[in-house]
Amino acid sequence: MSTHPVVVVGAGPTGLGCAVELARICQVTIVDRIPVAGGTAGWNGRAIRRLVRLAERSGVRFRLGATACTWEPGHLLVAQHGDISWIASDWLFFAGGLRPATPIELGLAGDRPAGVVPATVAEHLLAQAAPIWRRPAIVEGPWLAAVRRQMLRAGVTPLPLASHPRNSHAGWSITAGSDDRVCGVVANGDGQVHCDALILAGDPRPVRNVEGAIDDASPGVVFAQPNGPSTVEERSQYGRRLAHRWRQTSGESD
Amino acid sequence: VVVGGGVLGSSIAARLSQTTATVCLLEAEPDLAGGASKSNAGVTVSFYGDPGSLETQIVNASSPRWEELSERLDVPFRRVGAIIVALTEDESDQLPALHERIAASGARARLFTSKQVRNRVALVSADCQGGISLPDDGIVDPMRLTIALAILADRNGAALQLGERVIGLRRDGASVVEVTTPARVVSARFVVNAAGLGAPEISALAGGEPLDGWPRKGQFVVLDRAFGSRLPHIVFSAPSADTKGIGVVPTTNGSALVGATAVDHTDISDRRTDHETIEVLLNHARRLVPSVDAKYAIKAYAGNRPASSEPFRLRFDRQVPNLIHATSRSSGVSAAPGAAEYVLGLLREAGLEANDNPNAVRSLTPVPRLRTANDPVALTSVDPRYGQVVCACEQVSAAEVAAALDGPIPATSIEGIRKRTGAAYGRCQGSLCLAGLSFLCGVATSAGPGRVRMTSSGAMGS
Repeated sequence: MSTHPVVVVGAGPTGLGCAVELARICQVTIVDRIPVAGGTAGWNGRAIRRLVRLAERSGVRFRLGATACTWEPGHLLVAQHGDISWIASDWLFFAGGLRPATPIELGLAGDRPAGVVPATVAEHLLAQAAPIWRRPAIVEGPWLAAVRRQMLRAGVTPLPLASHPRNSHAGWSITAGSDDRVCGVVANGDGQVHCDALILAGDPRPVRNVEGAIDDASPGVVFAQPNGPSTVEERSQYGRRLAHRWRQTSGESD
Repeated sequence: VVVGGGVLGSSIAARLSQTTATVCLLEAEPDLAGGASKSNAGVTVSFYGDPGSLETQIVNASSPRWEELSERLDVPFRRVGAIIVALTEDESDQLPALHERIAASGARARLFTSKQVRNRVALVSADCQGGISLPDDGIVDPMRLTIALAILADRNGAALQLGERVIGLRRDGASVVEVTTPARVVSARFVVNAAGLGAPEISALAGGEPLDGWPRKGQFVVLDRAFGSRLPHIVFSAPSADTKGIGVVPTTNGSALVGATAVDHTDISDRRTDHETIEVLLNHARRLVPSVDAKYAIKAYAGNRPASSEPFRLRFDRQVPNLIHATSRSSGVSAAPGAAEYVLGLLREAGLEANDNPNAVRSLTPVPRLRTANDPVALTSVDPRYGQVVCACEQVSAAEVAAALDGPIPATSIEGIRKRTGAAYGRCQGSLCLAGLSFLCGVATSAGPGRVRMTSSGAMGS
């Protein structure tokens, strides 16, 4: 059996799927920022726990609570509290997930006040169920449902804004109040929507935050960031299929 | 008393603090570098203004000092050089005259053929008709520079009062003797008006001459490191009517800026960007550097620089004998070191006892940075929190965020952390790190999740 070292970044269902498949022929380490495996699927669901156990049994090593920083073909710089080190790795599988589009990606111009918040951040801020906004507007997208649920729990009804077509740079603009907070959004010339927060939950984009693995064409990197599959099973299957195809085309085999 | 915590005010305060003079710096906003010192391209030019002008003299005096200054102040700087690119024959015809003007001003410059331009910067368009190389232009982090200068002033005993707008200047006879803020009254032998866009108001409060000044808005687009890392030099357009001053500029953190436009208007608080201008900027940048693409755009922002019929003002007031005006519509960063020296000279001539203090602090202890450290592996022995990456796009660690929150002039907002560390400046614009930053900022400023400030004055919650 080959002992090529390979690192998978991202211990969500996709990364775990990649890792399980790669472990058949490689020495696999899986790295994740969060100290538990599961990614956005959470750590304690039945399906995700089964997948983690399968990875463990397949010989995958876990390095959790560690951030992948810099990729150079041959090794990856990984940082965690008290320990920054290079891990030998012939290939990098990047399964870092998706993030909401930024204002410029959504075509949002205007002011840049406080209160314009990515949905991934709003989820954390709302976790205490404390209402910090009274009239939040949400750019619709995959994160809408989760954020809305939290807001309703905090007693606040959010205002969904239909998502904007990609990259048209011809749509919305943000208005700030005198307190340097967002007070409204002008959407496609339809007049102003008043709000005291604007949550960006739309148009998912692949996260790219490992230096040296930003471009699609980065040498030695395979990106595993499906936009569509949502269940643990679908995403892990996606990861397994991707890794399987890579084995066949890259010449790595047992 | 120096009024204004922008790059000019901070630089002047830092220089004066190294003498026997007693210095106070007053800034209206809760943090430094809030106006034009935040929203500029961070270019340290070697050429600006007309041959023989005071501005040229000050820029020439500043330009050779950047390596030494940035090293002492732990501020990112690179002397990358600039190329002025002519895209049309018309523009190309004007290059020799421009080259003569630059040479007459004392800056190094060489006329380049289109081939030489493209040899220097392969990314430049094949339409290039020629250019001028300015090897001494550089790039600096203007926010880190401003804050470092203010920290140096603080270390040398200057009194720094942030969030204190000047509301009155009391005179005794012709001279100002007291400066009033809502919190205090500061007695003053001299007042330096480095209030940027607020300069006319300060002069009026002092009963000084009426200064004219208005905001000139500039919009910028930030491009990702995926593009910026391939751009080795600053690329400016040749000056022509429609494209004045727009360039593609690498930044010290590896990204690139496209900008800036220049539109005179009247509302100081208007820092809005608009789709048309963003489009114009990107289209123009593409003409210079065809690989510029909207897909690299991280964000757009706008700032107002203090325009005036007297674009570079560094002199005493004509009515108030102890009031100095220090304003520049555009060359503030590039002129800051020389302007500080020049103001010190003016004050000494006017009778201020300001001898150089041989024991003054001249340099700041560097804060190591995870992203740029030569040996990142060794950093955890300095502080284990270097291994805790808060902002992954820009590789900013918890140790660096802590240094910003506990520093001599601490960050009190997420924007304050960003100015000091670059956190949340990257391609995801905080979608992964804003929660962590707001938590760390909240702990340091004793604010709950709703009260944490995202911008220097705007809170996360309502």
